[in-house]
This record gives sequence, C-alpha cells and structure tokens, in this order.
Amino acid sequence: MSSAAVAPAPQIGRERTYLQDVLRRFFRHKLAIIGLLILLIEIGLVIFAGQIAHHDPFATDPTAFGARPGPAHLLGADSLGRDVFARLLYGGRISLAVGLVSTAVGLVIGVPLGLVAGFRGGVVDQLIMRAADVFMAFPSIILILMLVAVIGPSIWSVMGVIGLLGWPFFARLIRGNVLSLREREFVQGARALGARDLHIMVRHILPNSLAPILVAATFRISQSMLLEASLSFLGMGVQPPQASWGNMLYDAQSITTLATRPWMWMPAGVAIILSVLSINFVGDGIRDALDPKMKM
Amino acid sequence: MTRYVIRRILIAVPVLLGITVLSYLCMRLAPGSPIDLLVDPNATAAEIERQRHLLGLDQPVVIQYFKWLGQLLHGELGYSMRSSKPVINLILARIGPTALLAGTSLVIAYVVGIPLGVLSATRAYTLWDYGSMTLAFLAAAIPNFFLGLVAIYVFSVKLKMLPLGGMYDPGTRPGVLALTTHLIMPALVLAGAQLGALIRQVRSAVLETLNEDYVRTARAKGVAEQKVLYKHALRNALVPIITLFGLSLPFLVGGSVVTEQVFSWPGLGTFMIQSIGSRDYPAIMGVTVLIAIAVLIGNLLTDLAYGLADPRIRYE
Repeated sequence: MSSAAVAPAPQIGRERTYLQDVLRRFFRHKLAIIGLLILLIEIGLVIFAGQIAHHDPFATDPTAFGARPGPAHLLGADSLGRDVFARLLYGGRISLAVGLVSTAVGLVIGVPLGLVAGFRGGVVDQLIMRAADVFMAFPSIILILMLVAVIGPSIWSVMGVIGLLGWPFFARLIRGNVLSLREREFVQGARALGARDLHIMVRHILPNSLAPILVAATFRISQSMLLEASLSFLGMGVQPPQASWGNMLYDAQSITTLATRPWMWMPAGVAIILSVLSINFVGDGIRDALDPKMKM
Repeated sequence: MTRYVIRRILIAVPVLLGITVLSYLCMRLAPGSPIDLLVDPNATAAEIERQRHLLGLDQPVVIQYFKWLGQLLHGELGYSMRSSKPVINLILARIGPTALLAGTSLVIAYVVGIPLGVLSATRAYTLWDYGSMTLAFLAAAIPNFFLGLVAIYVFSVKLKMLPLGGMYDPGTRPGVLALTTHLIMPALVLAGAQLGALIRQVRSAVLETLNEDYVRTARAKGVAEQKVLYKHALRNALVPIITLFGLSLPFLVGGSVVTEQVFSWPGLGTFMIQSIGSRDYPAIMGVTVLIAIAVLIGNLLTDLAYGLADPRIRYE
C-alpha cells in the first residue's frame, strides 16, 4: 500500500511555508549569523588551504627551527621548522572533519538503536538503555584513551572512537521522542492502515524527530572537536606529521615551547575556541528557529 | 526509601560489570603487553614465556577476566605489573590529590555558577545577563587543557605568581601555603570547564520558575522579592540543577584526567595515563572500577537529592 497523497493545504493569502518561517527565525538570531559567517570563512580557508598557504605544512626547514612570526612565516614555524600558518589551515581540515565524521558515526549507530528501543520496548529497550548507561556512566575520555590504545592512534581511530561514544546521547534522545510520538494519532492511524513497524519508524516517527536530532548533532560536532583536541594533546589522537589543532598544542607540553614560543601553540587553541563557539551559536540559532519552545 | 536504594544498587551491579567487561576487553585487545617493559629486550623467548606465565598472561583472556573478577569480589585489586606494589596502595596514594582537586573545583564552580545563573535570569536581557552568558559560552568552548596552558603562560611564566605544576615544590616541606598556591590554577581551570553548562542550566531553570503561578501569587500577596526569589523560585529550580550535577560527574572525572596532565598533578588521572601507557592491566582495571563505583554512587545520591529538593517526589 502506497502512502496516501497529502492534500495541498488551502492557501489563505500569502502564507509563509514552514521552511521560510524557520529561516526567518534563524536569520533573526544575530549570534547564529556571526557563528555561521565565521564557520563559512573557516571552511573556505581550510578547503583552499593549498592556495592560501605558501608553505608545505609537512616540509621541515632547518633554517627556521622555532622561527618567530614574520614575513617568511606568517605565524612563525614550529620546533621542526614547519610553517605554523600552513599547519593551522591543514590542521583545520582534520579537526573539522573529525567533528563531522564522528558525529555522523554516532548518528548512524544511535538513531536506529534509539528508534528500536523506544518502539519495541521490553527486553530490547532494557538491553539498549542499560548499554547506554554503561557508556554514559563512565568518563568518555578514559574509554576513548583505552579504545584508541586498542586500535592505535590515527585520524581514523579518533573519528571512529569519538563517534562510537556519541551513540548513547542520540539513542536516548530518539527513544524519548519515540515514546511520546508512538501514541499520537498519526502513528495510530498509520498502524490502523496496516503499516509495518519499519515503515512507521522511518516514515512517520523519524521525520518528526529530525529537529531535536539536528540540534543535538550540531552540539555533538563541537563536543567531538573538543574531544579530538584533548586526545591529540595527550598524544593519543592525530599523529604527526599530520596536523590537527589538538596535536599542534601537544608541543606546548614542553615548558620551553610553552614559555618562549607562544606562536607555536596559541593559534591552534584560538582556532578551536572560535570554531566551537561558532558551532554552538549556530546550534542555538537552529534550536530557536526550529522550535522556540524546545529546551536542551 | 530503603527498598529504593537497594533496588538501585542491584541495577548498578550489571552496569558496573558491563564497564569492567568493556574496559577489560579494550585493554587486552590493545597491542603491546606489560612484558615489553618488564623484560630485557634481549631476553630469550623462553624467558619471556616464563614471565608471561608468572603474570598469568598465558591463559585465555576470558579466564583471566574471571580470575580478576573473583579477586575483586574478595576485595583484592591485585598487584601492579609495573611496580609490583599492591594496586590498592598505589590508588590510595593518588586518590587524595584527585579528590582535593575535583572537590575544590566543584565548590568553585557552584559558588560562582549559581549566583551568576540566578543574576542572569532575574535581570534577563540586561548587561548582567549578557556578561554571564558570554562567560558561559566561552567556558563551554575553551578546551580545558588550553585554558590550563594559557593560565600557566600568564601566571607562572609571565607574572611568575604561581608555580608551574605539581602539588609541592620539590625539596621543600609540604605545607598548606604551598599546597594552596599549587592548587589555585588547576582548580580554577577545572571549575571553568563546568561553568558553561552550569550557568546556562541555572538561568533557564530560574527563568522558568519565575513564570510560574505560585511566584505570581507570592508576589501578589506581598512577599518580599528576595524571599520570592530564594524561597519560591530557586527552591523549585533545584531539580534541573541536581540533574545537571548527576550528569556532569563523569565529565568532572574526565576533565580532571586532562587537567592533572597539564599541571602534573599527582592524582588518579596522571596515574591512569601512565598505566594505560605501560599496559599495566591490574592498575588500569583498579582505577576503572573505582571511577565507575564513584560515578554510580554519585548518581544514586543525585537521585536521592531530588527527594530533598522536591518532597512531592516519592521513591517506591
């Protein structure tokens, strides 16, 4: 049985569509706009890193060990003589990618599990939610450190592991949504029409849960970027010579670098703060735009 | 109430077991073994085999897990493979500094965060509100360790006001003054990590209760504004604040791992990182169990605190 065609809503004057409404509310949110602009600039910078930075981020220059910022090296050079500005741009690629990919991994695992837990209830629900408890009751940074030790530190393991640990947040969120949507009329109606569980979950419940998922995912991106930074700072994340904002800060564990060469570590830290702030602003904007009453 | 506590403890047992299985598996699947660091690199295969046998590493992982679990049920955490000392002694030596650091930061965060959140809500959309919300956003966006690095750079390197790290200066007598000067920075940094979520949560909770009917009633019958705020609004805003507290316990522990590393604080966090590095299985498992128990107890206390904050909540 094909899904029933939706009758076009009667037009009264020139009403705004839902999307127009959402966009209007989003663009009224000043901080969200600033955040979005900063993010767009950042994304532009890291995509065109090759054109913007004049140096190879991996090339070590023995004449420039720890060089100060100047015309040759805009933000100076690191302890191996690599250009900090170039590494900042290339590192941005990695850090932003880790944020996006690991959030996607969390969604892919968490959303189906949450749907099933909420929809099926009973033993399945208990099993999934107790598993979520195990993950959430334990400091994620320690689990991540152990998991990364298993797989070996690399950008892929960092993405995978941070993603894996994100699932309980999404699963809980979806499950809560499913529980409240399950008894609503449109779901009852679909069931009365003989729709199968999978159809109801994917076509009726999931679309109605998209707003909170989107908001939670936005905040998870910034969370993941912070986790990547901590992990790389501890030396268990993205490994050199590859650059990430986190591992650019790793050098600052040496007191000489920390004390005498702030250009080596400050820029990466500022970049992280700026990105996380912007993403959080955008997340706030999306939340207010999608549902002014939603609380998270 | 007693039945509720007992039931919660019974539910916590499988969660705890789950955590131990998960971490045991992770740890044992990791490449490398404590042997690598214990024996001379030129040792013969037979010698390595003998060491593995001595430590029980030649048995199947599942058997080793159950042996470890059996030990745990007898209250034994085993011996560190790195230093051969009882794990419990190593942990006891580290637990004080971590409790001190985490506890101090918790107090600072709540002493600063709750008034700022309340101020932000009662004077919503004023300069006070924007100021504390800016602080909240910044606190949530700064990586813990970066704040630590900047603090060290400013206060230790440039201003030379505070020590770089550690708990006491080497070669000096431990004293309260030295301890305080060493504690200030890490405690403030760790408090900063909690401040962002706290201010926002308090603000939205208080804003919400200020709109309730009972607040309007209290004002209408002429209750002083201070009293309305503290006896009616804030009291009812406690429940979401307690929820946040329960949820943030694992973050506090996780945050102290990173903060301890930055400030070379001799606590459980640095011990854990060293133990993971040297694949010291009993030590890793010891700390894991301890943290898990602490977090689960914290969650239970949080749930019991709901009853104190809101007498309508009953425990069956």
